[in-house]
Amino acid sequence: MKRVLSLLLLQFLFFGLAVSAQTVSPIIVECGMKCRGEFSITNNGLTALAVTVEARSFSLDSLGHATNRPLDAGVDLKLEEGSARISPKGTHTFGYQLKCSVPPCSVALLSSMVVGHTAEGILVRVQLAHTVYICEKQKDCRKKVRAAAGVTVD
Amino acid sequence: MLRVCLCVLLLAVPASAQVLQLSGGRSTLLGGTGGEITAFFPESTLSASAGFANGHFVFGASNAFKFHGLDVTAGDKDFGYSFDGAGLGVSTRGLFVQRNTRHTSFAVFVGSTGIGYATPFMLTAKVQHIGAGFFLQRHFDSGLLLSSLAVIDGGKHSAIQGLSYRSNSLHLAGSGGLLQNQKYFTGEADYQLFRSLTFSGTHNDFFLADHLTTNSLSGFAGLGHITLQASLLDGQYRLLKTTGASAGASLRIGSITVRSNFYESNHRVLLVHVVQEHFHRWTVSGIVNRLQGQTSYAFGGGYHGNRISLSLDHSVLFFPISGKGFQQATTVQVSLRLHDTVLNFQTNVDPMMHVQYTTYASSYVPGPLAGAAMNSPTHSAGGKFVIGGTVVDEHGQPVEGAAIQLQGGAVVYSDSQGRFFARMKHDKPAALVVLLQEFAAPGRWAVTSCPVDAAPGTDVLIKLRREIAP
Repeated sequence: MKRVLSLLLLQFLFFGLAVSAQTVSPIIVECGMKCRGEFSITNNGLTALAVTVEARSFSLDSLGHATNRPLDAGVDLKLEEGSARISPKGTHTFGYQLKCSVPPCSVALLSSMVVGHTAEGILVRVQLAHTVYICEKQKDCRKKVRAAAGVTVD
Repeated sequence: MLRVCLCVLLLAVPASAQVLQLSGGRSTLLGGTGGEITAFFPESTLSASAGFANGHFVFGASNAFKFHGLDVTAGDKDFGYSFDGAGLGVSTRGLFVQRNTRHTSFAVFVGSTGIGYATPFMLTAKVQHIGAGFFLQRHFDSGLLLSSLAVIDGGKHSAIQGLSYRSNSLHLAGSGGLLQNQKYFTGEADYQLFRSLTFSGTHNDFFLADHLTTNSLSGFAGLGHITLQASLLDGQYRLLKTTGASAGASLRIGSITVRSNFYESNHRVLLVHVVQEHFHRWTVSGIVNRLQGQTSYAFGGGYHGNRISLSLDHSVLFFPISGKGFQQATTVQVSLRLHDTVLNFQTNVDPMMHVQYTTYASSYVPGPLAGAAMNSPTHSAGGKFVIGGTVVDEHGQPVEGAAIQLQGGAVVYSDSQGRFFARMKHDKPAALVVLLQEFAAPGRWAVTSCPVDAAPGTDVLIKLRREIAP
């Protein structure tokens, strides 16, 4: 009994910080002209999360920085789901089919979620990207897209 | 009386928790039945477990928190570390402190040690001795890793030192010392001759009730769609020596993988041919076995979805303790997610070749401090008929995070453009409801206009009004 009481006392005496993070997997995939894939979002937090998925085409500058834009006309995307509620410590898999009529295509599937707020009450929104590179041939597609953009850094 | 007071006290504290995790289950593999309640507070985590293990009532409790950058646990915790093919796990009850930095990890505990029951659904210990332990691991940029573990567990003393080196093509590891009053050594080496060709060798001593030794030598080659592997194994348990050899090849063409493996142990030859196909979230496999001139067939497979995951697998494992060498083992795994509750069932084959099972459920419940919780199910029913739309505010601006439920379907949320969609199985109108209490968008909202239902192929417009700014 003393042991239990000691534990309860410790509970109120000491303080720590609970840290959690959300993850996406895989981060990058390479595809041929037709691409059927999926990515998973893991909610490592203790409360459920609402996640929405949006697609963007992007281009790279010579430093490898991406600039997003609305999905190109030559990209045909079919998402299985556009949003989901992810349980605490749960994982949700989003499936998609992607076709690119004018390769190469670079598409970012952005998963957005509100994960908390600051002490001042400002909401913290996290956006995780699952990036798809589509070329005529799957092999070394990302490398070719980066080379075409003149990216010299890794 | 003590047990009643224990339960009342442990349930009183979680009443003020932010989130509660409730778990319960049974495992023949781990020899226990019981449950655990974990209360997550903003700055600490309090757990309490109780159950029966091998016919005896057992309980445990712990409180984990940060203190000046240190991770502190008061109560029950497993002190378990492994490195370089060796390791030691001790169930402890006391004070446990650890700190991990980029290059250094250290942990120390002081208290008592005993028999622990660590399962996914409860963590308890049966105290037997006074104990203390220390673990230190240091990474160097050169690839060297130094590890040191010292434990006093009643009359059993352990002091293990480990050293390993890893470069792009070579991994060498060795450790030795005193493991529970017995001298021991273990070592392993991996050499990657080319990018696609790897050799490895290991030697291990396991200190169970009796001494078990295993050695292995293996090679692996990956050549595009083709992989080749071969290995030699031997094990000795008491006076029983078991040897084995295996070789195999696999070919992957698109979503289909074909594997053929040869296993030889104790003068028995086993041939296993497997054809496996992955399509989307399904896996199907057909297995042909040939043992002692007899042929048998088996089928396996699995499905991995967001709500349910199940698999039936056949594998060939090496059993040095029972002296039977390579044997086939069938395992079943089922996982079902119902809202915030996960149900799991899994079978395992123990070292004596007995089939054991573990089944448990785990759920998260929001506490009074958790704030509003999203409670509606949101797993999509799927389908080829799409109902979509846009959510805007009183100024025509898109509203992100609005929750909309379609009849017979899941709750969906609007994106940054205010767009949402849901896939339906049937080509008929579905009732549409805006769930204001489920919004991920900040603030309080009211519905200005929303159609009663929506038909597939149409684009609905939902107008909202913000009542209170966030």
